[in-house]
Amino acid sequence: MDVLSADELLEKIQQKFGERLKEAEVKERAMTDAPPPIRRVWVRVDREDFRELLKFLMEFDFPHLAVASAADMGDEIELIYHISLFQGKRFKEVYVNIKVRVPKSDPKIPTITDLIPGALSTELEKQEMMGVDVVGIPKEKLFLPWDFPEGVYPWRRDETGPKDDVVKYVR
Amino acid sequence: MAEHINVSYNVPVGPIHPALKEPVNLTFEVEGERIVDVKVKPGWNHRGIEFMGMERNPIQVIHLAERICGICSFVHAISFVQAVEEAAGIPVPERALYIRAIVGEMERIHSHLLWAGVAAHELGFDTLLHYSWQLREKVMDVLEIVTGNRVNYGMMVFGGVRRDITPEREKALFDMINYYRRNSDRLKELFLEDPTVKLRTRGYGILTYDEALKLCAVGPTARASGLAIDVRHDEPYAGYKYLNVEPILPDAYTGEVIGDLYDRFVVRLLEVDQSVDIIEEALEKIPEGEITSEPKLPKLMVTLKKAEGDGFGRHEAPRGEVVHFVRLKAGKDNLDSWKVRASTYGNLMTWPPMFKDTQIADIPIVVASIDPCIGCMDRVTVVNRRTKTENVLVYDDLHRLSVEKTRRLQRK
Repeated sequence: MDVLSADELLEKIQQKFGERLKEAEVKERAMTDAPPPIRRVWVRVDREDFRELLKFLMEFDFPHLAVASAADMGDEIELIYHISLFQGKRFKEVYVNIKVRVPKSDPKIPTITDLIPGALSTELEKQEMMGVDVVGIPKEKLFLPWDFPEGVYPWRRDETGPKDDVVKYVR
Repeated sequence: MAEHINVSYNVPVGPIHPALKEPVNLTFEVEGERIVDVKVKPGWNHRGIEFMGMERNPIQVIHLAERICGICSFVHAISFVQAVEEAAGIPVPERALYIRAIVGEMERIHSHLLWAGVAAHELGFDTLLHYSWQLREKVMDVLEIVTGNRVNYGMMVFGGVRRDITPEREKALFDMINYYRRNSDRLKELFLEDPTVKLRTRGYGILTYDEALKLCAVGPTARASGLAIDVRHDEPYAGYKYLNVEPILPDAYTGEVIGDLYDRFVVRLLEVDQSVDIIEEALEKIPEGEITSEPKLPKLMVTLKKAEGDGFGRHEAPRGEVVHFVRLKAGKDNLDSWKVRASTYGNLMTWPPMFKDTQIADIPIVVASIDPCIGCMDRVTVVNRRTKTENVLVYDDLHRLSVEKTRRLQRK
C-alpha cells in the first residue's frame, strides 16, 4: 500500500472522476498552525457517485470514518463525510471530506454500512436530526427519545425545525 | 420428556448504567449467564448542545463546548477552537501551541487515573480506587495552579490561550512530573501484576483488530486492539508537531496484542507515563513569546463575523479522537453549522463484539473498559422473553455480582 499525500490523492480522484467532481480542492491549515501545514482534501460529488468514490478510496486504504456532518443549505441538505486514510503514519494521515448534497424534497442517500459497518450510528443520527433518508438502515431513533415528535428535525432551519414550544431553555 | 426450549432472555441495562455516573441503555440477550447479543441506546442525556451552539456566536460557544464533557472539558474547547481558526484563518503563536499540548496532556493524566479508579471499583478493589484517585489529586492541584480551575479550565481562545505558564507554575509542573515518576511503577504493579485482576480481565471483552478498524474505534480502545492510531502522531497539531509522540500498543508491555480488557488497562496506564514525558519535553522546548495573536475580543469578533468557510478541528482526547466541524457564514454572528463527534460516539459500536460470550457479572467492567463518557446504572431489568416477566436488578445487584465474581476467583 502506497501512502499518498493529499495532493497526490486529489489528483488520482480527479483522474478517475473528472467532470463528475463538483468541487475539488486541498485546503491547508498554514497560518493557523505550526509548520509543516496540515493539508486536507475537500471534494463534492453527486449522490449517484458517492458510493463509487468511497469504494475508490478504499482501494488505497481502509478508511476511518470520523463522522458525517450535515448543514441546512435552504433547499438542499449538505452531508459531509469526514474520512481519513493512512492512519498510523506520522504526518502522513490524509483527511478526505466528501460533500454530498441531497434535495429536501427527496432527501435520500444510500447507506455505507456495508462498506464501513461503524457508519451506522452517524447515519442514524443524520436521519433523526436532519431528516435525511438513509436507504438501507433501520428507521429507528438513536439519540432522540422514542416519543420525540415525528417530522421535527432539530438541525433543520426551516419549518420542520424545532418550534419554540420544544425549545425552552436553550436559546 | 420435555421439548427442548432455546432459553434466551433480554436484559435491559440502564439508562442508568453500571460503570460511570451517566446514562445509557443496553439491552442484553442472555442464555443463562452468557451474553449473546447487545443493543445500545444512548441519548438519555441529550442536551441539544449542537442546536444551542448554532444559536450563539463562536466566542460564546468556546465556553459551551467546554461544558460538553465534565471529565475532559479541554478536548472539545481545543477541537472547536482549531476548527474555527481554520475557517477564519487566525494565526496562533508558538508558545500557545505548546501550552495547549501541556494542558491536553495534564487532562489525559487525570482522566486515565480517574478511569483506573473506576475500573478498580468495578472489580471490587476499593483500596485501589482510593489509591488511584489519591494519585490523581496531584494533577488536579497542578491544573488548578496552571489554569485556575480543576475542571472547565477556560484556557482556550481563538488565536492562543488565556493564561501563560509562569516560572512558579512551571515549578509546580516539574513537581508533578517527579511525583508521577516516583509512583508510576507502583501503580502499574498494582494493576497489571495482580493475579486476580488478570483473571478478571485477561481474555474477556475482546475486540479484534479487524473489528476495531471496521467499527471506527478510536483512542486507547483502538490501540489496545493493535490499531496504531493517534491523532497526535498521525496528523500532529498544536505543540505535538515538535514533540515525540508514538501510539502506545499493549505489546510494549506484554509482548503481544490480544485486544481484551487487560490490554486496555495496559494502554491507559502506559499513556500516563507517556503524558508525563510529553509534558517534560514540552517544558524544556517551550519558546518565549506571546500567548495569543489577538488579545482583544471585540476585534476577534469582527474577524469572525467577516469569516466565511468550513473548519475541521481534531484532538486526541483521553478517550480517542474528537472531531469538530464548523461552518461560518460572512455577516452572521452565530455559527452556521456545528458538528461534534466525541470519542465515545466513535467507540459506541465496539460494545457488541466485546460483550460476546462474557457474563452478566462482567457487564460493569466491559462497559467501563472503553472509558465511556455517558453513563452509570441504577437498575437492570431482566425480561424473560417467553413468560414476559421482569426481574429488576438495581445497580447494587450488578456491582455485587461483579465483586462476588472477583472474590470467587480469589478463593480459588
